[in-house]
Amino acid sequence: MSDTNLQPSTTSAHPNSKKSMMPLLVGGAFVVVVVAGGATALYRGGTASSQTTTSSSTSLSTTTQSFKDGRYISEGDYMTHVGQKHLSVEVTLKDSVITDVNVTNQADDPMSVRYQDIFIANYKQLVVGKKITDIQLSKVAGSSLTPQGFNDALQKIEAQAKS
Amino acid sequence: MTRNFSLQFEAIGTRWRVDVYEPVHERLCLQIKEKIFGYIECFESTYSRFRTDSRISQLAQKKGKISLSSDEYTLFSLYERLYRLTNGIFTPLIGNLLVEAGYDETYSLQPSELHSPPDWDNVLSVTDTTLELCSPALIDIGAAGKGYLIDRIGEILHAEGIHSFCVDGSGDLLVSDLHGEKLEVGLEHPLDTTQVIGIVRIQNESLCASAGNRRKWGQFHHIIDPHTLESPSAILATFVVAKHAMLADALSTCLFLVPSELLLHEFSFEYALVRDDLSLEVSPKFPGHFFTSASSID
Repeated sequence: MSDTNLQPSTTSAHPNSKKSMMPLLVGGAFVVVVVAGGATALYRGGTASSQTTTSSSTSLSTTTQSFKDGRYISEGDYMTHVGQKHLSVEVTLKDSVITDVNVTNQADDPMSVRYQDIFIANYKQLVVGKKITDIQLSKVAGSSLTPQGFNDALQKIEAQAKS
Repeated sequence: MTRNFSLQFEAIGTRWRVDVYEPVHERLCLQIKEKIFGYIECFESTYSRFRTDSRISQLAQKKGKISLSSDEYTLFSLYERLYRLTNGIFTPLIGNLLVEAGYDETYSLQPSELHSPPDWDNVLSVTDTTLELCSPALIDIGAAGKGYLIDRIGEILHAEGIHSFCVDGSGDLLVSDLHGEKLEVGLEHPLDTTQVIGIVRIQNESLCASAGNRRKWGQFHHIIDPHTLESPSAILATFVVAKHAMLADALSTCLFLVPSELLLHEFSFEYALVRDDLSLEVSPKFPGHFFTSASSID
């Protein structure tokens, strides 16, 4: 259950964050940080993605801190161009590991409600693949097939790089 | 003699397939084929930056003007709208930067020194009948051109009285009247093209996808952010469903470059994107589902 762990805030800074050109809305500008003593606090991180709650590169259980089991609820604030918005995060801890996370929409304008819905619908998910041959499909959408010339050029470069 | 028919061909550097799901007279099949091929030839001779004799290749050498049809105007007005909305990140003036990065007509794939594209207002003006460059610049409509062509092929079919079809521009799709059925489309895994990560069901709409996994060289893929002069790496793939392929195609590129919020304010579409850690962002009414690890957290 390693992917149930939240990672500490600073490790999750998104490479894209510096390019963000809008005031960050709910698209996941949140990082849950478990602080000593077991209280949970929700900070607005400088990230542009909702990946923070789903990535798992650092496990809390590997730290020397230990946390009391239980459910913790906290409210997160973030600023938009139409004012401050809130969202509620509930975290369940067991043996210092987050075993469940739930986020509740607390936005008060339609657009923020929509963005929070998008965040809530997605923040737990990590995509997994299935073999195309195992599934009945009419079509597959993805990147365009690559033209011959492009592939040839790549192979030549590869050959040059090896020699 | 009538039959359902299917047309496969190479155009604008990729594989195409047009499937018609209603009986069509043999003679009409030929006519349609000629019209589609004629249109594509006209399109490529104007807009291909891989052809030195194309109109836009000429405009890259010497300033000048080309006339626009009303369809072409919709393409460039979408470009202009997205250019303004994205603060210049989405731009048809990206051509020279792509060439400098190595994505040129010979696929040299050898990056040279990179330069930011010129500002639209300094070089380009588009009216409903003309496109004019007041100094030479290489236009590249790669971010919406395929979708535009898909829509035009759809229109050619409608004009011939054919309404049940699928136009497949190598994974970018436009479907129409599937007799009440929906087309099931797998969404390609951005890191493994033998896998799909989800399924979308569409009817009377377009699905376009973009990913950096193919057409990738060095640190670049086919999308380059003109502000950072880098290919975005935080997002691996995008999938957009919209009424028209031109919009779906353009937005599938935009989602690599700007936050989705910016686009949701302005356009009607559904989308999904896959980030570099394989986390997902999916709009609430996206007409499909993904295979995810979400269940393991509950």
